Parts: sequence; structure tokens; C-alpha cells
Amino acid sequence: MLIVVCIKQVPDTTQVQIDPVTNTLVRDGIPFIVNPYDTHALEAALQLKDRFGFRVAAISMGPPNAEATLRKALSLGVDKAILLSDRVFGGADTLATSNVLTRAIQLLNKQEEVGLVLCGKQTIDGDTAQVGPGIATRLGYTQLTLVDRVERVDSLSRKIRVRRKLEGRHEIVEAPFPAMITVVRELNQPRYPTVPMRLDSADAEVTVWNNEVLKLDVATIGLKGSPTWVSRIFSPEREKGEVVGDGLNDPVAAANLLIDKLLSKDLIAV
Amino acid sequence: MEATREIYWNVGHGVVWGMYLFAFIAIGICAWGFWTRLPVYRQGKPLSRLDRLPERIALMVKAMLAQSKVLRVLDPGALHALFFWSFALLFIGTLLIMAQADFAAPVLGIVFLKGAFYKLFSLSLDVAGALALLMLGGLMVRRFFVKPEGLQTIRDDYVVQALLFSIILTGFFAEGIRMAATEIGANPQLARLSPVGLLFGQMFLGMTPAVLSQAHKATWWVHFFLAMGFIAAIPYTKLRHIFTTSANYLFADLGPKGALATINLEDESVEQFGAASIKDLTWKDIFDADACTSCKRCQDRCPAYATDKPLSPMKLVQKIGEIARETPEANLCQSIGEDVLWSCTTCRACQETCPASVEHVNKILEMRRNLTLMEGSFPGDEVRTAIGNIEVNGNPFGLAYAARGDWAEGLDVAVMESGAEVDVLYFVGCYPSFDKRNREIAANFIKICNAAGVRVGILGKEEKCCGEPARKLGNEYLYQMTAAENIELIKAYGVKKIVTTCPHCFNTLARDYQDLGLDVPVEHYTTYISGLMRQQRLKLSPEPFEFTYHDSCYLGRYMDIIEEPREILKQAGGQITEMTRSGLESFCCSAGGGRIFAEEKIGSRINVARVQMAKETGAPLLVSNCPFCLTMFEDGIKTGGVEGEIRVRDLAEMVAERLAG
Repeated sequence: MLIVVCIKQVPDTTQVQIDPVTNTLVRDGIPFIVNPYDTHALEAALQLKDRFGFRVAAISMGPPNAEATLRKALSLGVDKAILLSDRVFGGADTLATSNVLTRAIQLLNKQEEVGLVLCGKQTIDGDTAQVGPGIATRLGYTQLTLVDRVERVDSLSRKIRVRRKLEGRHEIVEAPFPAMITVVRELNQPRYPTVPMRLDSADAEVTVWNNEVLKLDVATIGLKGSPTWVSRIFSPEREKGEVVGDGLNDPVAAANLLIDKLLSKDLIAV
Repeated sequence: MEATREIYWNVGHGVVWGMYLFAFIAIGICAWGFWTRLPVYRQGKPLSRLDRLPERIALMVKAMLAQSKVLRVLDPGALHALFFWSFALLFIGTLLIMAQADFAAPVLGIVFLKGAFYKLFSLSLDVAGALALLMLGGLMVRRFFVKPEGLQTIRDDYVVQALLFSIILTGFFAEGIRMAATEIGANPQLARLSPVGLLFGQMFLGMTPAVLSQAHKATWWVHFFLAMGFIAAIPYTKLRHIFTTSANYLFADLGPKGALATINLEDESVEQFGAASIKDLTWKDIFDADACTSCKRCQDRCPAYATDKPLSPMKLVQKIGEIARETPEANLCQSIGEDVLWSCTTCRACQETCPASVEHVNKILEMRRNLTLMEGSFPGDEVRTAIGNIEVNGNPFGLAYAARGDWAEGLDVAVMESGAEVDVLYFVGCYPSFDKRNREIAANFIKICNAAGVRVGILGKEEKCCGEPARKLGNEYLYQMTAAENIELIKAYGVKKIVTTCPHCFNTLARDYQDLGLDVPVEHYTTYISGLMRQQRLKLSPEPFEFTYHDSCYLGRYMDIIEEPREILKQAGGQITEMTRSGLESFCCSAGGGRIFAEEKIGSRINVARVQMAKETGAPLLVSNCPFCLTMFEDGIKTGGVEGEIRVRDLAEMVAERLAG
């Protein structure tokens, strides 16, 4: 059985700035990385591979240089890597992206039965969290979003039970295969590629599928298939932070107050 | 009457047959013991340590005969050295007797142990025996009564001490009894040349010749069998160090300090990187365990051990020997413990002090290589993040690589990209590029160069981490990746000279990069400034200040640059008060070996301990020469609660503030 992980090459947005004139992201001098959420999806898939012997495929839609992202996935241990790359895919919003990824997963399913599709909960450049659910809808898979723990996988009865991380609570849900799962960072600690794997991945094949392979109606993909138009990107004015407690005279109380604030805003977890 | 004595008096020359038979048996047992250890060493990988043989032999002879390494720590090194010299003299004396009685006299008819030479022989052996006994007594008192912290006493120590003590004692008894029977009365003048023998002999005066004869025979044979026991016991006890430590001097690493084998990552036949099991280490790594006498000098100097971390370099080396002998199939890193391996700051204090030329650091690094390269393991998530950041952004902070040269804005320094002509390339490094406090050091260094009329260039955003912390964490892959990019750049710009403000960059560029094809002279800014001052290009107007100075490991122990920085600070008006641990004996700041990225979760804080040592000098200022040290000491002063009592500053700041004109 195959697990498909959808990954995306994104700019390391911790330092991305917005060009005030063109309202676009300034990508100059910013390195590309694998979308951090996706690295947790990869890790989850590889752990299932280690435990149950499932095979893992990584797919990514992007320009030719997104191959680097797939090589990273290969160095971590995925069995195959497919780059969905074609000029006609360019300029896609989440709907058009879902269409391309859905078709690719359908093609993979013809080669080898797909049991699970794993995605990061969102990308750090788009922040929509729509692509995973979009794929699930189009594939007709059950969707389990915001997963922070895999409770149980039963490879015989073909079911997966997971814990979802919701605002202030957890939810444990179960679904039969095939299912689509989006994961949060708390799920796991991604592994670090070993050197033998890295060296092997340098020679491994990254299959490229263009639209001649996917055969999608060009009206449903790329810029043409994207109903979403971004009217403006801008940096919001930063609100000035508040002073919490009296750190000079009572640092312990101030620290406690700060921890409570951070907890209440769900910025840290106990 | 001519001064001499009858050899084999009382026991008769006939004993030689039995004597030589037993001697051959003892030597056989000894040789067998070493022979059976050879397969243990052979489990390791091959390594050539017999090149430059004349140089090696000279080093061995010096370290052995002059006891130069042992004597670097006078207590108890002096006791050992004096014992060694006296015991060696006794051994030579025994050989002379053998040559005289069994070869020269019966075969050639020559008697040389007579007259003045015999008198000298007799006196010096007597004195040597007494001295050996005295030194042995001192060593016994130290081991069994004083019991210095951390000294482990095992079965071997009892056996060795008892053997040596009884050999010398029975020797004196046999001598004394012989003298009581033949010399004290008959030739009192000669007897006085064996003062200790005389002392023993006086105990037996007045006994009948028959009793003396019996007593002498018994003592003689006991002495003989103890001596044979000593020979036979050598390979089976710590006595083996007589041979193994001497051999280790011969096998010593003659390369530059800190040289680490560069892994050929392109060799597809290699499947294992780093040491996962004993056979991935070299034979020398295993042999080191036999050369080690557990003298604990390394442990005494280890910053990890001193702050209650699980690492003791001595125990690590011993453990490797144990694994090689008993469980060679074991997983090396797990048997030793990952926490042990990650505790090392690669400060090299262990290796610098080791009187047996054991190489501790590279063993740890080879095992770390296995952990990172083969298992993707790190000492903590924060370290993994830093490593990931170096991989993506070329710096451990995860800051945009494009901002690497921003610190130099408004300063008189060229970016190489612009094609400017420069005298030196300043390889800035990550901390001076991005860390707020260390950016001041970079700026001050530029100011100093400007004052000396030196045109300085930087690589700016093209520069990457030198790779040193990654390499010392075992990540040779990442190191070679970033090193290759730096080297390509430096070569492309035709750089003639490189200066760094970071001793870690300095070591890496000057030594490690050579293996990867960089051949440009590299200097640390301390010696560079020192040179500028010598050439009168840089003049200081001294302003008095009191300080203590911290030798960073990678400038002091690794590069032996001890005096220059002190001289610069002196010329800047500084009055130094040294810490007890300084120079080659300096105590690490905690940040070496990639530990700069790691949280110190076990034991107490090394940087706080070091700041405390600095504070104890009473000096209000601690001067350092390394961005890692500066960072750790700023932190150590705060967490150690000595803020306001001592400050830390970099040498560049002290100089920049005192530029003349």
C-alpha cells in the first residue's frame, strides 16, 4: 500500500519581506526549504513505513527547481518522488493546485493502491490550509485535519485513529482507508537525513509529470483555473506589545503571568 | 685488596642453568601476553604510524628517558621519574652482572667489575635502590593514604606496588647478608660504598656462617623469583605501560594538532561513516587503551568532568579497551553512552596533558560522526535546528544569508564581490556577522586595520559558516558542503591572505581546509595585530588597565598562540593577573565541539565555573579572543551572579580603544 505525501517548496519566510511597491514577496536572498509542516507529514509517513512496511511517495507541484525539495524527501527515505511541473500549472491558487495534486494521486493509485494521503496543515507562504481538504474532497477521501498524534493504525482492518489538535481541546477520531490527513508540528520530530541516504538520493530518480501525463483541462489548472485573485499583500502595522507584570520587583509573578497569557493565546502548550 | 665481589657467592655458579631457564620462561610468558593482545589491536582499521621513523624514535627516546611528558605535572611526575631512573639503573646493574659473570669472565676471561669501576657501580646501585624504595613509598602513600580525588585503585596497583617493593627489599636483604658474611668484617672500606647494604648487613652481624648461608640462599631465590614474576606480569598488569606507553610515543600523531581525517564522501565503496563498532576505529585507538595508565591527568583537566557531566576522557579510553577485549561486536556509541560523547567540548586539555600520548578527541569525533552521519542523531533539538539553519542559511541562527554582511555598513571595508583590491580577506564567521555583541568585535577589528592602513575585504553575503561546529558535532557532510563553497569563493577572488577573529574559523581555514584544497596563509587577528605592531604600522597609546586573560582552546592549545595576545595587551597598558589555569592548561568556556549550539542540560555550567576562576584573580576585567568565549562569558557573568564584579571584553576592543593618533 502506498502513502502519498504532498510537499511544497517554500521560501524560508521567517525573513521574507514584502516589496511595498509591487506588493509581492521579496524572494531575493531567501533560501528555499521544504514547507516545515510538510516535513512532519513526511516523518509521519516514514514512521508508518518503518512500522508497517508501507511504501511512501512524495509529490510536489512546482517549478523545475522544486526537484531539490523532492531530493530532500528521497534522502529521508521516501520510495519515489514525483515532480508535477508544467508552465500551465503556474500561478495556481489552492483550487487549481488541488486539481493537479488530485489527478496525480489518482494516477499513482492506478499503479499502487493509495491508503493515505498526508499533507502539512498549511504552507508557511500561503497559510490557507485549503489544499489538503481540497484534495480529500476531490478524491472522496475521509479527511482528518490538524492531527497531532497517530493513536493507532490497523493495517488489517485498514483503519487509522488519530488525535486532532483543536482550540483548547483534543478530539480522537477514526477513519477507514483511504484517508487524507493534515498534520501539525507537534505530531513528531522530523528525522535528519543520514549521509548514505543523502548520497543515494543524489542519484535517485525524480519523475517529472507534466500536463501531457496528467491530461487536465487547462481551464481547471494554473492561472486560468484559479478563481482566487490576491488584490494586495502588505505588512500589517505591528501593535505595540503590552507590559506584563512587574518584572523588576516580582519576576516570578511576572513570569507566571506571561506564561498564562501565552497559554491562553495557545502560543505555548503545557 | 682489589675492590670487587664474588658473583654467585654462596649460591654457586651452577645456578645459571636454572636461572636462565626460569628467565626464558618469564620472558616467554611476557611475550605471550603481548602476543595475545595483538589480535585485539588488529580489530581496528589500519593507520600508518611508522612514517618519519627517525623523528619518531627521537621523540620516544626523549619522552622515555627524560620522562619529559611525565614531568610536566611534578606531583607525582617527579616521583615517577626518579623511580624510573633508579629502577632503570638497577636494571642496567643487573645486566652488567650478567655480562660479567656469564659472558665476559667465563668466555673471554675479562673481569671489569673491579677496582674503581666496581666502587662506582656498588655505590650508584645502592643509592638507586634506596631512591627507588623512597619514591615507591611516596607513590604508595599517595595512592593508598592521600587518595587524590578520582584516582582509581585496582588489583593491578596492589600487585605492581607489592612486586616492586619486595624486589628492592629482598635485593637489599640478599646484599646485606652477603656483606655480613664476606665484606663488613673483611673489607669495611668497600662496605661503606654500599651504604644501604651495610645498614641491612648490620642486622645480620654475629650470626653463624651456616645461618647466614641459608638465609642468603633463601633471600636470593625469593629475590630472583620476584624479579621473574615482575617480567612475567608486565603484559597482564599496568606494568605493560613500560612497553605500551613507550611504543605510544613512537606511534604519536605527528600531524598538526586537531587534524581529523577528512572523509571521502564520494567514495561509493564506503558504507560506514564514523565509528559504529570497535572495528571502525583504528588499531591505534585500541592500543591507546593499553598505553593509558589511568593517571587521571586528563580527567583532572576535563571541563565536562569538572562540571558533573558523564564524560571522563580516561574512562572513555579505558572503556574502548574493554569493549575491544570483551565485547567487540557491541554498538560502540551505545556502550559508551551518547551523553558521554556529546559532553565533550573538544577543548583538547586531555590530549595536551596526556603523558602517554593518548589521542582522546578524535575517538569521540569518530563516534559522533557515526551518530550524525549514520543515525541522524544530535545532542538536542536545538542543535538539530542550528545545523538545519547552517544548511539552509549558512549560519546557525537561521537569519537571512543576504544580511550576513550588514554589520559592515558604513565601515571602511570592501565586499569582495565589488572587485576591490584588498590586502587581506577578513573571514568574519557567523557570530561576528550576526550576533549583536560580536558585531562590535568585527567593527573594532576593521577600525584597527584601517588605522594600520590595511585594506580589508569581506565575502559579505557570499560567506558561509566555516563548518567547524558542524564538523566537531560529527557532521562531516555539512562541513564539507559549506567548506567547498567557501573555498571556491576564496580561490575565485585570488585571496593572498586571510585573517579571522574567531579561533574556530582560524583552525578550520588554516588546517582543515587544506585537505579540501585551500592553500592560503591564514592568521588569527591576535598574531596579525602583533605583526602590525612589530612592523610599526600600528601604534598604540597605552592606557592602564588591570585584567586577566582567557586562552581560548583553539588559539592556545590547538595553535600554541599564548604569548602574542598577552604582549599586545601589555603594550596597550594592561597589567595581567593570571588565572591558575592558563596557557596550555586553560579551562574551556564550554562552547567548543559544537556545544555552542547545545543547551547544557547535565551538571553545572562550565562557563560559570570559568568566570568564577577569572573573578578569583581579583581583576575587574576578563579579556578573551574568541566570539564563542565572549558569548559564553557574557552569559556566565549574568547566570553566575557576578555582574558588576567582572566584565568580559575582546582583545580587539582593548586595542581599538588605544589606537595612537
